[in-house]
Order: sequence, then C-alpha cells, then structure tokens
Amino acid sequence: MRKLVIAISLLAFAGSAAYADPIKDRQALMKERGKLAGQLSKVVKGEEAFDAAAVLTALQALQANAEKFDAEKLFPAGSDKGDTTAAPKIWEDMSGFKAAGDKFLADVKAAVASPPGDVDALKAQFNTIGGDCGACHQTYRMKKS
Amino acid sequence: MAWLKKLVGAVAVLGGAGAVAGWALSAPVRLDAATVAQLGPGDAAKGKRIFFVGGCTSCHAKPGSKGDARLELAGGLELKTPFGTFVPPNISQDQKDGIGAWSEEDFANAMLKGISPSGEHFYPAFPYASYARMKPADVADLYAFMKTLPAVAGKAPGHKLSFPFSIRRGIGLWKRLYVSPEPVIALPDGEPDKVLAGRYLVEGPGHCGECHTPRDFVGGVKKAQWLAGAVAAEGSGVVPNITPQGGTKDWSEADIANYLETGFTPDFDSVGGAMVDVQRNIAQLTADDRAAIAAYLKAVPPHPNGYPARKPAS
Repeated sequence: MRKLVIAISLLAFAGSAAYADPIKDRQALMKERGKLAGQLSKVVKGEEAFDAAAVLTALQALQANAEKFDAEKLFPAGSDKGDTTAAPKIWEDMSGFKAAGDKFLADVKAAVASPPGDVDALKAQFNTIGGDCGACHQTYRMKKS
Repeated sequence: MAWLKKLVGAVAVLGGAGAVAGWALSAPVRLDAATVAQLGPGDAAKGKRIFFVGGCTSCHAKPGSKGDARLELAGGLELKTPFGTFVPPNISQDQKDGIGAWSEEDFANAMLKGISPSGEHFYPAFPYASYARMKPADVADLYAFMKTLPAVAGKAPGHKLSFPFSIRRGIGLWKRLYVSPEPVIALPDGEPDKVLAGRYLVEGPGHCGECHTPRDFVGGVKKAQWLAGAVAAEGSGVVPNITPQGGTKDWSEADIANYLETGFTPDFDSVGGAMVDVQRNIAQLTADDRAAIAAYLKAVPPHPNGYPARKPAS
C-alpha cells in the first residue's frame, strides 16, 4: 500500500513537472495574443468589416489572455535558459517587466469597458494596445535567430 | 657591423616614411567647395522627414524619454560594443554643450565626412559611413529642422574605448576603406524609381546596414553580406537577415511596409529590441517612403544569415 502511494505521488509529481514547462506555456499565451491582435488588426486595416460584437469578443478574449499572464509563474528563475527569446533584463528588472504586463492588461480592460463603436475608435485603442507590445518587447525580448 | 648600422638606418627611414604616410593618409578631409555649394538654404519642413528617416532620436534622445521629450537631444545613452562604450553626445541646439553654434557647413562636414568643427574625426558609431551617401540638400534640410528643436544644457560623458581604438587619428585610415558616397548595391538600368528611392533611404539616411550587416574585425561593414543580419554590435542577441533569403523572405512588399507602419509582422508578432525606436520613426514617414523601402529590400541580393546558427538548447 505504501509503495503504491509513493508510486502514485511520484507519477503525479513527474506529471506536473512535464506540464509545467513555463517556456512553452508563455509562448502559447503569446501566440494566442498575437492571433487575437491579428483579428483586430484586419478590421483596423479595413480588410474585414467592422462588427461591434465580434470586435468586443476579440477584446474580451484578449483580456482573458492578459489576465493569465502571471510574470512570476511564467518566468521563474532559471527559465532564461533553453529555447527562449526572453531577455536577461526580465530577471534583472522583474518589477519593470510586471509593470509592462500590467499596462497591457489595463489598456485592454479600458477598451473592453468602453467598446469601440466604429473603426476609428477601435484604431485609437488598437494603437495604444499595439504600442504596449512593442514597448515590452523593446526591453524584455531579444532575437536569437 | 656596418651592415647592421645600414639596416637600422633603413628601418628607421622606412618606419619614418611609414609614419609620415600614415599621418598624411589619416588626416581629416573636409567637404570640397562644390559640395558645400550644393547645400543651399535648408527647408525645415522637409528636414523633419530626414530627421525621422535618420532616427537621430534613437541614439541622441535622453535615454528612456518619451513623447515630445524625445526631441531633447541631450545624448547620454551608453552603447556597449566590442571596441568599448560609445556615448552619443548632446546634439541639441545648446550653444555650448550641443551643436547650436555649428554652421551649416560644420554640420554637413559632420554628416558627410565624419569631421567635427575643430577638425577631429568622429567615431563611426555615428553612422556617417551611411550618411556619406546623402544628398547635400537633404543634409541642409535636416540642419534647418534641427534648428527648430530645443536647446538642452549639459554635456554627455565621453566615450570609454580600449586601445588602439582610443586613437582618433586612426579613424582617418578607416574612412579611406569604408566611407564613400557611392551606393552599396548597383541596380540594373531601368530599375523603377521606387526601388532607387528605397535604396537611397535604406543605404543613406536610414543607415539600416549599420546594424543589419555583419562587420569585419576593424568594424567595417562587409558589403558582400549586405543586410544579411549580424550578431548585435551593441546589446545582446542578433539583428535579423532582411535580404530576400532571410526571415522576411515570405513577406510581401505590403507586409514589409505594414510592419514599418504598425510594428506588427504578418503573423502578428510585434517589433522588438532596438527596432522598436526605428519602427516608431519610420511610422512618421509617408506610405510612399515605406513602400520604397519595401521595394528595395525585395531587390537586394539574397544572402544566407550573416550570424552563426543558434546552438540547440542543452
């Protein structure tokens, strides 16, 4: 019986370790974020017609995505090694990094709170939100290849 | 031992001649009268475009400043390179600490020849190897625009360089090898005006090749690998290959122009690193200018990446 308990807990431990790959998790979150930004951008560029309900759904999804961004959990110490383009600056300046994430969340929340009624309104909000992407990537990401 | 005396004498004479030749070859060469005559009175409104193509603020704005404060060109950023740390100086209109007292000709000598008003060589971290390809009239317009910017007091600290790069005079020899007003890429006859306009913006004022092209051991741009990407000369990571064989090979001209305008790649990754400031500057230009840059980038010779492949994660 004791052996079984140990075996199960070992398995559970190994399982959680296999799933908790912060590099994969954060990359998946960023991929999804890019996709959502892409949907909104198509509307901003006029490639797709403005549909208030669809835009709001995308913005809400963006908010849900931003709320999942837990900097400490996704960027634990040591996760600067491996297949990642996270810049060392993240760990040198965790508070600045978190502030950049918080600003993104705040700007997305503001957009959800006052949903855009037309393309021009969306464009203004999208410029602010898109600017946050660049502002964070300027300091906290580096190209490796 | 007469032969030894002769040998020593010969070496001394040769060495002396070498030193004299080196001294002569490394002398600063100012703009000729014909080029100065082409400057003419600058137009500040047109100069604003050149200012943003050149991206002066990326290096010369106070580090970390935002919005209108980006136009306060007090310098002070630290560029840490293998040659040492370069600190971009104050180029605001301050009479004492900036360039407020410079004449238009002084300014043109700095931009096109890399020479200070007192006749010293500037370090090529200031990208005059690219600016040397600029039209004198554009330099004059830029001078006029910069006259409209604020004066900010306070000198930036000096460069901290290691020997032998700490000897400014040596830059004169470097200039003979790497500074020329000629275009980098010879385009065939009949190339559309758009591509030629893009070549001018990219190779000249935009100085894209300064970061996107690998350098040799004395810091000269390797023109045979033009825009092939490089290990970042400053900071960490790599600067991408932007030739038609690089990461942008599947991007259309419209994709490139859109990236420069919005900061988003076709698959909605965003601009990052030092390119963020560049993109914000290029976003200030007209759609025609961005389209011209895109057309030129599609017309340059393809090259494999100018930086080593990333080691697999261990």
